[in-house]
Amino acid sequence: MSVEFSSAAGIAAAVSARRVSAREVIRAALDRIAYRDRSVNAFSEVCEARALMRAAIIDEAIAAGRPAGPLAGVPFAVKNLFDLKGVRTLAGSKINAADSPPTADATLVQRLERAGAICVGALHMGEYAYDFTGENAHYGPVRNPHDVQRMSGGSSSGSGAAVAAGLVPIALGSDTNGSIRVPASLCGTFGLKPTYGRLSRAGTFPFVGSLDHLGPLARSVADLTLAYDAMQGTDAADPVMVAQPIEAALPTLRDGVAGLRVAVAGDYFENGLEADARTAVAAVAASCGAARRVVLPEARRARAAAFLITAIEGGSLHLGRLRTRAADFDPDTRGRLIAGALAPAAWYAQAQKFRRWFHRAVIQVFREVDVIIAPATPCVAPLIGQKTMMLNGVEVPVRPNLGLYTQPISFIGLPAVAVPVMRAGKLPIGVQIIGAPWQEAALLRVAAALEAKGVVAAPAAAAPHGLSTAPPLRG
Amino acid sequence: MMDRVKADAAIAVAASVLALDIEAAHCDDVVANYLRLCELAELVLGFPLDDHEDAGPVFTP
Repeated sequence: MSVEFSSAAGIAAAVSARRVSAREVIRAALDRIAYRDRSVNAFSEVCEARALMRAAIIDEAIAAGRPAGPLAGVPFAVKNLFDLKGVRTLAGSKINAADSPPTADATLVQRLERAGAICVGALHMGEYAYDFTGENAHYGPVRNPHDVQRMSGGSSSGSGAAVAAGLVPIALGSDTNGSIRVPASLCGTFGLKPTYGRLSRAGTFPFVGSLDHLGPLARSVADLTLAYDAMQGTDAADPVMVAQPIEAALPTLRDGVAGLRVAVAGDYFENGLEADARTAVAAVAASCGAARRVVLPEARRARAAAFLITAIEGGSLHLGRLRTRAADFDPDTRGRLIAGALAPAAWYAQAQKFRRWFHRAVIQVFREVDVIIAPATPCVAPLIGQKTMMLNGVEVPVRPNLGLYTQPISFIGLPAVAVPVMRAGKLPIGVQIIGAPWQEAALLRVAAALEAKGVVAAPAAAAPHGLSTAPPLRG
Repeated sequence: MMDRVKADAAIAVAASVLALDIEAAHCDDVVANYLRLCELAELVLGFPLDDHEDAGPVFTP
């Protein structure tokens, strides 16, 4: 079978039924990565030996008649802030290259592998996750598979690009201010940022502890859901995990949107949009029958508070490295972290207090509606190296403004699914489907209904000029 | 309102307290980012909040 653009569900079914071996699947994925990633630059390290060894274990289990899991033989890759045994957790930095490799895998990697999936490598990212562009001064930009002259989005840049390029059906990323939803939007994939405290962050390199989330990216809602369900469960190793029961989303995925009150986010979320984003939101809203408009009060101030918390916690985290190795930071990261480290404590305390206020105000909105639709990014992928863009007739910097609509949502830990809106022949763009805390299953239902109607879908990225769509056949 | 002169002074004091030497080549970038944070802080500090509003850094949704 062709692994390129195959679904995780399809691969797992084929491997479990012995129509293809896990080894064949992984070998094909590794070949494709070696061939296609030259133009995309998604992978920081490919774990060939580890993946083939794991594939052999899966094939042995299936041959012996033992269940191999709902993700049997499915290749996946992780942002290089997830610990992988024996692989340096660079977190997109030059500085961490001196660290010893971890001796164990991150919790979520363990959980995916327990479900039968096979990790094939680590993915590039913006330095220390402080990025929306996918650019990195040390390792080069991750290129958008739909147009390699354009940004992939960040900071889970390699995760978005690897999935969009068909290198793996599932990748894991982190999202502090939008770092799953922004690359999902620009690369045309689905992405889930769960409720804060839902998925364990143990074994990952932190950025902003009070805002960090982890989640999957995939090319279909079913694959996103399979990965999400496999990763749920409490973990004492992550101090902010909430003791929430496992709520499998797959059983209700095809239940449709009937009974859900869907609204469109107005005010702040309607301003600064390019026509592409506006049209995308309208298409999703029309399909969901979302006639109602709601306002999340003080969203602009919420974004400002998220900015402050990010800079201050991030600056504090990296203070030691800023003292001793400031010259080794990415120039686009360094100044923001130093400024954050020097900021007064009163700013941080007020931002955290405002966060509580904003959370309470938004929860009030969710008494009236179940799901809110909002843009994921204000525009399609900008060109690599582009510093400014026009929003609402005003020239603004690209880097911070790609997260214009994601930051107020992650600020209060709400779950959100980024869905890629179908736009034949055009660059991808995503829309956020946002819910109250712990409502991931309902959001995935909405995404699945939109996918079933053909309103959203992950477009296949054609290989750039000079590369055919598939790697040459081996030997 | 924070300006470049005030920002330079604030940065110098805070950097000294934190024993953080900022290379001359990095100063303009740090100041630009600090001024941006000042703008955002003004927006956040300008919002009236009750004294009893919880400022706990560990957030629970």
